[in-house]
Amino acid sequence: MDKLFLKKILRLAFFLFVLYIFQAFVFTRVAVKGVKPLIIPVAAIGVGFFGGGVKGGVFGLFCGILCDAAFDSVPLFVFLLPVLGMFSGLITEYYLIPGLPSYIICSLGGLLVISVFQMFSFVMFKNASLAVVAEAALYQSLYSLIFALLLYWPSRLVSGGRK
Amino acid sequence: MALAAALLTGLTAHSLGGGRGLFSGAVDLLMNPIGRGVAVLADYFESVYGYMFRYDQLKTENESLKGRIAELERQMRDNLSAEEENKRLRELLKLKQKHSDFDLETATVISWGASNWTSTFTISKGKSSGLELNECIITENGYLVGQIIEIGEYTAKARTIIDPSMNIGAMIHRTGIPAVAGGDFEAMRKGNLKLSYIPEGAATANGDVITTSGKGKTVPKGLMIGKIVDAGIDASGTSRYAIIKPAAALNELSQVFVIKSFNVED
Repeated sequence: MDKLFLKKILRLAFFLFVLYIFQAFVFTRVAVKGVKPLIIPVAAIGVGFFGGGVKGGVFGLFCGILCDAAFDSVPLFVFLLPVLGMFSGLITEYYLIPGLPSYIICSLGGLLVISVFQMFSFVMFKNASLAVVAEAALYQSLYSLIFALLLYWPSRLVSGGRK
Repeated sequence: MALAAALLTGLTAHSLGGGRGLFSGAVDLLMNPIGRGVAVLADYFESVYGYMFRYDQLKTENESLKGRIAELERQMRDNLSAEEENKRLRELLKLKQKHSDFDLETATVISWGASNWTSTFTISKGKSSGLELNECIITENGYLVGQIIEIGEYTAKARTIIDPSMNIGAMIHRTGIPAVAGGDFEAMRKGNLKLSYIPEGAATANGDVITTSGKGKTVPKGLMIGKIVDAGIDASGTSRYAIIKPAAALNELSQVFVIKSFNVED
């Protein structure tokens, strides 16, 4: 196997490992207004944004597996994150100018999509009030956006750029 | 000469007479400021000397004291921790005396779920310790914490009583009226749960204690769930509900107890 390729994979794996530690063990204890941030999902979107659709999709798949483990969710992220990772790569390739503003827009879009999926079962099957659920979703997205900003440079660094 | 001899005789006589000699007084008067000056200088040079030559000794002593302080602080923390554990065990003893039928397994909370939509945690015991699915988890005071939902060999995942998927047979302790206590998304965000299916005409008041009813046979009867803090009528206007504040401090859980078996009351 190409040494450079292996190095890139190891870098991404290490990045994901660190993110998982923070997501599953650190930020579960640091909730703001009862909300914990989504760190791994924003990294999946970030790697797709800087590395392109293929990298985003593959990295998103691994992120999804770990996210479902950390979030105790029904398999949701394992399907959603590869799509979001790939989509952020493709949209940047064709429609957005790579840079911080586009990255923020892309991350916020992805976070809102995730929130809509998470809200779905509560609104449809558990009679939860839409306003309350939407408020939680908004807080979650905005709080996570702070981490998207913090992950701007690391995501750019580990993604290794587009071919 | 005669004057000097007279002066000397006078001064000597004054000294022998018990008074402070004029010579002594004069010497004192002259030497006092000099003595003080010398003392100040001596102190200064001593401190300079100390700084120059005893610096290493002071540094070592300082480091040793710092180490001692750290050690004492560690001992204090250990003592506090032991005291807390002691308190928990004393409460547990009371609980064991009250519910002699309980077979309890001690476990530690390892981690909390990362999701904003559920309330779950992982404990340090699993199948290898004889735990099974749906067994309930309590605090040392007998307050209900949650129920095991996934089990591994050495760990188990549990949902807390405020998780939106939770439903437990409950009872208003004061009146004995049965109802269902369960999680609700809105209540969960405030750290509470909801009491539903309250029969029409049943009296509820803030502060009413809610306990488990023992219906369903997975949770023993009489465990404290919490106290009513609010009440209302559903949006449909047909059924009443109450908001319960959990008795267990869910945010501060560290050690919990799993009830492996208990006597089922019919």
